[in-house]
Amino acid sequence: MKRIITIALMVIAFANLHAQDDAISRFFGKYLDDSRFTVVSVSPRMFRLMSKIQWDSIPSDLKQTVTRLQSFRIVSTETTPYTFYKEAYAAIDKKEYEELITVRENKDDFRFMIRATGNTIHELLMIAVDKDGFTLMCFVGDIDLDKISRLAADLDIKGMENLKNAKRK
Amino acid sequence: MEKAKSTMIALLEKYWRAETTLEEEKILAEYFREPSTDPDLQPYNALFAYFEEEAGVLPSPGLEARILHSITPVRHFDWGMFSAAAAILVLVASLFLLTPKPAGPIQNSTAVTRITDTYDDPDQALAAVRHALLIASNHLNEGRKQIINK
Repeated sequence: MKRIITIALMVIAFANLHAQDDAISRFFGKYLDDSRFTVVSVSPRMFRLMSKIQWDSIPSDLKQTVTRLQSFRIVSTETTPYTFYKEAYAAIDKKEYEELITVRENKDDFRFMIRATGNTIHELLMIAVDKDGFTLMCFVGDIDLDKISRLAADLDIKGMENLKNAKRK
Repeated sequence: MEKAKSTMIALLEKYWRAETTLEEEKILAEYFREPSTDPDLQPYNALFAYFEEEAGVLPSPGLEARILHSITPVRHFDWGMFSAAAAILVLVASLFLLTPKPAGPIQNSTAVTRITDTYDDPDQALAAVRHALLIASNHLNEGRKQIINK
């Protein structure tokens, strides 16, 4: 019996590893090789390397959020943003990704979707569109939404606007 | 005769105290088997006759085998364990079979993809993640505000 349970746990662990692939890999792989898209990726290996960084000057909420992440990716384009947004949203498996927040202003939209087991969020997917572009952003790891929410509050909002513009560069 | 009687009484008393040897018990049994027992001791004749009769009772053939059979634990097929193992197997199989497979024109394979790093420097990577987290944070707060205002 013990042997059966061990084998079952190993298989489940393998299945979980399999599930670590992010939404961008699973649904939007073709965008990664598309020259119209800008891709920014940070691998699990790089997240491990970040442990060597001097963390003294980093706010604790940010530190705790980053150290629990496994991978991160952004895919964005300025080409036909609304078309890509529609196509991308349709491609996401809604059984697996739960819609958390949707904000719609005229034609501009952003949605947060999560993949979770119980109360643990494994993946946060942001999909956003405005006239300037379409963005898919994906964080994989152990995600604490409250901590992420607090990050912006720690900064001044002026700085946020600059960041938003910087993303499009 | 009197000597025999007193010896027997002494032996009997020893017998009741359970201190007699097998030899002494044999002497007692033989004495009470004889009809010429001392009249004072005759009430014991029936008792010793009864002991002798009972000693002759033998167990029915195969008793030892029957006892051994009834006390030896029999290994029955454990349906509980079998059911538990089967349930786990079904669970594991369903993990694979029921996991939604990607379908449709723009979906990619589910094979685990290696993420190619955009940055070689962890500091730069952290800066990018930090920017992205702040954008996400800002949008999350914006979304929450809208939900509250509704």
